Amino acid sequence: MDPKTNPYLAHRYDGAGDNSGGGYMPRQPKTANSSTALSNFTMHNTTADQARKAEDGPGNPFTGKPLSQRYFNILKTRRNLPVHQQRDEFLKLYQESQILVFVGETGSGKTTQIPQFVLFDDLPQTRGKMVACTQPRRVAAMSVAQRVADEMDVQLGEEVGYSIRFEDKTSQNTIMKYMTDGMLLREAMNDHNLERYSTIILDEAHERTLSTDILMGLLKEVIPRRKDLKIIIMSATLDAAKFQKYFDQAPLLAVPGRTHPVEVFYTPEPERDYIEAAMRTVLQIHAAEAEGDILVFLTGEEEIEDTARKISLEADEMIREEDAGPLLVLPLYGTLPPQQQQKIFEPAPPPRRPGGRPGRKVIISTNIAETSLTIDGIVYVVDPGFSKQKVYNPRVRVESLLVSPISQASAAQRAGRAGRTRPGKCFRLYTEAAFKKELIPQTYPEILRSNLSSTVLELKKLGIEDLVHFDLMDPPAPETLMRALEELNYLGCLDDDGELTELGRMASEYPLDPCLAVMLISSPKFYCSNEILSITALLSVPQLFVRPANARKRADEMKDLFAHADGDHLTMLNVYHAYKGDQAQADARNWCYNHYLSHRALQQADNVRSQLARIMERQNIDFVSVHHSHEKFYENIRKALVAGFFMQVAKKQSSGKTYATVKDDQVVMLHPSTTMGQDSEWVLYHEFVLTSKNYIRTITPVQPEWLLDISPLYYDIDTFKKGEVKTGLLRTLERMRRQEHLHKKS
Amino acid sequence: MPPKKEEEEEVDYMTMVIEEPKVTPSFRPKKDPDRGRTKSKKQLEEEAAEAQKEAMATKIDSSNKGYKMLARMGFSGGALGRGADGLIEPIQAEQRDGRGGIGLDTEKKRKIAEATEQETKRAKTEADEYIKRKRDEVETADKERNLRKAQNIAEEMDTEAEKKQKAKVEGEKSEDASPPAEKRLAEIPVLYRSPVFLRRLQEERDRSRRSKRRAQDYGEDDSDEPRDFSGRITHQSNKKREHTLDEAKLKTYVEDEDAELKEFEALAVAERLEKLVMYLREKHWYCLWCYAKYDDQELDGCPGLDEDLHG
Repeated sequence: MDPKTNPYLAHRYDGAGDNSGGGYMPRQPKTANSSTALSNFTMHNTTADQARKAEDGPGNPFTGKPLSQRYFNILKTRRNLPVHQQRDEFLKLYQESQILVFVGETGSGKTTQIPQFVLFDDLPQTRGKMVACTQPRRVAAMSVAQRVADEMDVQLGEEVGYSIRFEDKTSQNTIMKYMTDGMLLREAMNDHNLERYSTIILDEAHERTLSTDILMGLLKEVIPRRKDLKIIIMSATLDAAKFQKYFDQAPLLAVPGRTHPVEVFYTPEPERDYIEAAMRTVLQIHAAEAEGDILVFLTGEEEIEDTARKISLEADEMIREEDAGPLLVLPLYGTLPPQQQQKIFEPAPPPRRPGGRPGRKVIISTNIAETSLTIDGIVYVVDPGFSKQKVYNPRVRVESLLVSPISQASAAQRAGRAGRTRPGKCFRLYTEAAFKKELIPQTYPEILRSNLSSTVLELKKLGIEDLVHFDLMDPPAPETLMRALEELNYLGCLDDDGELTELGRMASEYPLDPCLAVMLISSPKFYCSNEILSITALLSVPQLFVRPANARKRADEMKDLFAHADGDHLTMLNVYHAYKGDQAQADARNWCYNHYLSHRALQQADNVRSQLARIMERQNIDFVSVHHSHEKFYENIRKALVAGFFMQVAKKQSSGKTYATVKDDQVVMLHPSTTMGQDSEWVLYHEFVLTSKNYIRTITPVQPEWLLDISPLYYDIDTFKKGEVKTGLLRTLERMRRQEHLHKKS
Repeated sequence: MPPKKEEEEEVDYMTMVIEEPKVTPSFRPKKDPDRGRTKSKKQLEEEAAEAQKEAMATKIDSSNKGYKMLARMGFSGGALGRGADGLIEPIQAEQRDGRGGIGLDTEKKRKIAEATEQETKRAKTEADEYIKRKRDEVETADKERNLRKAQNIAEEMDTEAEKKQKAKVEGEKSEDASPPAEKRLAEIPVLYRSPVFLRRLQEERDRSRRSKRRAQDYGEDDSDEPRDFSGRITHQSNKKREHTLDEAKLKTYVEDEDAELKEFEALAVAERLEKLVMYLREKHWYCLWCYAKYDDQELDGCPGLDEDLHG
């Protein structure tokens, strides 16, 4: 496949346009333009033939402008996609039914083509409406929008745009909007009936993200209220019956993908070391199998980098000693910088000499290569059967990323990756018996594995009153909901009856975790809303500090330049202030590189900061700071952190280095990355990382007096179990009383 | 009036101090053996892991605020959702250690289970075998005791019968019957030849000891027999030693000189006993189990050959 036609690469071949702002201004229907090919089209009464004619030009059917040569080149390839065979069939079902379930395997062209099929029949521009197509991932929304803009020969951000958290690339002219499912959900909070859309397409519904699940529940409620709204649920896997059943036997259309058979191999015995086994398998394939690239599924960045290095070393030896072909080893994971991610699309290396053994590329990836990214040329898949999965336990209130066995559905999806170009082979590093007995049939949807505080707040804002009977495809465990309600109540977002408070209403406006939103809204009380705004933005972006395996010491030294003894939050703030300084801004990219900081993360933080500032302005929240030389400057910030994160506090145990979380009494250790320079009795943490050990990460020392002062409801001593935490709080209370007494006396 | 207020507070403070012992009159310091002892790192980790496991298994109960809020929204236990078909229990995170492949744990567990099962099986067979062996030992010991008893009875009865016979032959003519000459071993029935052999050894030794003692009485002491601190010969342990010695002599004799006895001794205890029982019954109309001599050859009145039949 020509990379220029790969929808996931589309953003590389077109200069990024300006952010035209967008916003939710009322839209005017376009006056019928007699010069376009669509003027004689009747809504929901068109045929594939009519649409094809319109597509053939000469003018752009949506803008009337002349069509470029590139447009016609792309059109040719588009018409070869499998979905085009069934355009008529699709239109018929779409016109007949309010809800349609569409199943198209990867490579069928559903994500780029179906929305365009809809445009030609739904004609949203005639009613001042839009077609929305949701994606679970930001990158997909961006790159698919770019591709479709190219296919329609329009500027990205005009007729075709996208909207993701902290970035809106749409305009008054937008009729086709790609967006993350989370964004559509946010829009629904202020527009319960989703009035601005004529058709909503939920793509990749099989991934069952939290937002897609909530959206499906919401759309079920919207449908009877908006008879003119059409819904398409798109899924890449064939378990569509569940969707059909959920949507009251909605009609189903399935389009086969372009796939070849894949032969699956199992190991005869369970593996002692799956990474070792994966490396062995890769090298065996390289030594003995025919030409074709390899895709290996591992679980995380460190594991992937490590394995990639080892395979490279082994392969070099093979080349020297056995005249093996060259082997290009490429890691792939979410936090990898985009330009490095793009390398996976490069072709395999050529033979070292004419007539020599062919080269091969090996991609070692997390499960992002399972559904979201499509890499052509893969013939061999190595599947150890693990992925990192989020699990939330409401009982101990810990959301953790754990390496867990994948589902049978995932395993099938992984195997399918080998059959994209030609018949392939999948090597499963487990026995067939283990596949049948140990793997669950379907991956648990995200809603069953997540902390639902944000979701509950969203649902409340969406006007869902009855959380108990809300019709979700997979309702979560009651305890998960209880914990969410409890947390929101302590934060002051919900009252005792579960009704949204004023604070809750405000907090729900922010695309943030409720703790962060509440912290931000409360920050003027502590005279540091500017600083808390920066910290909130920094906490909302991926890893700030870069720590490459080959330069850990140097990276740590650089980090020490910014280290603040009063904790990691203030260290992050130091980084941001330095980054915004003149010296750094002179050459930000280089400055970041030299200081082992992620330029991308800082840029993103900057962007997030201004987006959040806009919401704060709307809510009339004051931007206040005291001068940084003020003695309370840092203390104020630390107190403001408590206002949002009082539920994430741990107290040092008398026994030594470990801490215990205040209410759940879980033993935790400070993450080694902390810059906290003091030995604090009480610490506030941003994250609880559950691995083989329990760590708390991003830590700030706090005073117990602040806890009792700022969150008396949560720190109601009677609710604590007997133990060190209670004793400590009682002692603090006593001390506070004594001081108050003294204060009164004097 | 500020001064008065202050006074009150002071009084409060005082009463609080005084009240304290009243509040906890029954307080006893707990006798915790671990008190003051520093726990090892491993111990602490184990405790923490245990606490975590327990917390993860503990349901949020109705005293929780979130529970109450959900209840106010209409929750009354069970699952959520339109059809109340949702999860009841939250999904539990399973922590994996190391890089074991899928199925390895199960395989390990299966192997451990298998090994445990074999172990229990083995232990069970061992126990069964032990019981059986012990029972056999007891039975054999019983039989040996009975054998010896039967041998004694047989010898006694034979001697008695011989005496009567002799008396009959010699008639009334000679009242002063001389004691019968000692028989040669070969003439003694094989059935009780061994005890006779042993007894003769014993008698021999006794004779020599007597003669030794006589010599001692005359001031000679060349005995190499061990004595205790008071100078007495330690008889008890000697007896045992002598017994072993005699057994060894018997064995040598049986092996080297008496083929007939060798054949008999080679039989199992039970068989030897059986032979003796039969011998007594047939020759002396005596039943070992009834402890009785019958008047006729049929042993009329005896329940039978087996010991078990004798209740």
